[in-house]
Amino acid sequence: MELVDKFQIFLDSSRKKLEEEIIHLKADHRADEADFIKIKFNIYGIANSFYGNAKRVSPQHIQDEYFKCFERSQLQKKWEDVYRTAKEFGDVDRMRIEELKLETLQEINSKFVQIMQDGEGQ
Amino acid sequence: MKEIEVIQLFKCLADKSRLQILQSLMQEDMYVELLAERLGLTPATISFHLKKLEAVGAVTSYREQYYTMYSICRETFQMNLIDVIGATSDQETDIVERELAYRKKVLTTFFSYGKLIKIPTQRKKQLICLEEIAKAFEFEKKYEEKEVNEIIKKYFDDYCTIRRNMIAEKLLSREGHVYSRIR
Repeated sequence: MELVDKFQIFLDSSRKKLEEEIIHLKADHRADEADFIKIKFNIYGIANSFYGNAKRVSPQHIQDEYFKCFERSQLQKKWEDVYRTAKEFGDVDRMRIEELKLETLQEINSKFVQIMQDGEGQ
Repeated sequence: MKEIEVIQLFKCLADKSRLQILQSLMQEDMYVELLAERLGLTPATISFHLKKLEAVGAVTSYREQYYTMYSICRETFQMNLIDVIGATSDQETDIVERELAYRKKVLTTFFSYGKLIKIPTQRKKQLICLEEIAKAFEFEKKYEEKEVNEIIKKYFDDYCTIRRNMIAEKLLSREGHVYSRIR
């Protein structure tokens, strides 16, 4: 249960930081960068939903269920597909957005795996 | 400079990071990574801003060995602000530009990378999309139905609906099984 809380704390604190960053960037007249952070914030929101679902549906196998949620959603595949098409058409703006989504997903899931591995080693 | 270009330029400049990029480029020409280092932003973010600045004519780029160098477009900034603000467009140009902007917006909404996402319900919007697809057909050329279907399929899977609608909108004509583009 302790591991579960660690990841939840990471998600909550990250979302709070991102929210503050959005406010700061908007106040600093950096609207486009604020929009990028909003995208990151939304991905953290998705991870939070999937994690909450995994805890509810399969408390004994949270890690498996969490990744299954992502697999079922096909989000990563969709973003990769859009990125590829955007690249093909030289759509730099869209490429940046999809790249950011994929980077954020990687960042969150690496942290998830790390927390789980730390727990197993204890 | 046209009124619409002035608006786009000012909109683009109303961003602190972009102003900082321009301030850096006032000192010397730079490449993305150097700007990123100096301004504490990621190279991807710098590239994004430079692309916006380039689109409104605020910066230009050129190749130097392995790098793409960016420089401030001095002609744009040496213009008299009064002259820039005074840029007007006549009513006729305004109407044409508004119509073009509307068409662009419709096409951006309903097309994704050259493919029609869905057929618009509104007739005006549908006509714009059909006209876009009709560009794939040459005037004075006769097409077999199979050829028409193949061309439309590149844009939308339901080629029957599109083909029928193009005929209804008088973009294509049909005589037996032969189709041709109508001017």
